[in-house]
Amino acid sequence: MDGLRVGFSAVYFLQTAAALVLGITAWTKVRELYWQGTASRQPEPAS
Amino acid sequence: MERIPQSLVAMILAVAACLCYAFSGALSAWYFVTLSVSSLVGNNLSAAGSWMLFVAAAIVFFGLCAPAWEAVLARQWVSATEACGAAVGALVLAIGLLIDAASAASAAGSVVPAVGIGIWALLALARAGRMSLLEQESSRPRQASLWLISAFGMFASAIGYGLTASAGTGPLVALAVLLAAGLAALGYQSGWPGCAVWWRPARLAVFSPGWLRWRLPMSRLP
Repeated sequence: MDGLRVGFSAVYFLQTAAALVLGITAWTKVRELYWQGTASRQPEPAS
Repeated sequence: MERIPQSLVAMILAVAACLCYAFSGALSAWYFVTLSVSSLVGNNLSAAGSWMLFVAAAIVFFGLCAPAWEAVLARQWVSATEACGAAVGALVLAIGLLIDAASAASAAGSVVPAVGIGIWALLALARAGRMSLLEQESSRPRQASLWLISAFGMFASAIGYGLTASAGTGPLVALAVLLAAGLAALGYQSGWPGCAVWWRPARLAVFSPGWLRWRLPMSRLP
């Protein structure tokens, strides 16, 4: 039973790590999309 | 499906869902670590993990509704269909996780989330077929095999989720093996775009001047 317990703990820890990696990846995408939106909303410089 | 990572609302909700999912995974892992120490603490941890998992699935559902609506407004019907299908899968998953969190002994709490993940697997399989047909006609980047691996991972996860653990240790072992296989397949699938995201910060940390005092000597090379 102890081996099973350790195995399940390992699987859930792996899931936690994968979720954190995915979250950081999504946060990188949020920053990229935010800056794209900010740049597209800036007015044209007056000549 | 291309519209989902291009939607700011969807990505903000994805960050929130990932944080909830990570918290739920940590609680569940801690539940198995402390299983034999105190059953009261263990049960509370398990219930908290189940509720956090439901919150994560509900956030995913709302996050998928945003790009689906944007695709409908833009009259991109293929993207709209895929995003709506993914949202339906997330809704079924969230309902199943709600049943699981509210009544842990119910078999529906294992079967209904498996149906939701199965809907996602079917969507990934359909997309793999569509990408394979598109790749035959043009010199597009090869992505069909990655979607096929993703579909396999989701099918494995769905079968693992659908197994009820009440029958003994055999289904428990099968559940753990299938979940691990599904996770490994999804990790391999996301490794290709994931590497592109992680490569730039890693390269900056190692090679750019001024970032780290203890950086490698090769950063002084021209």
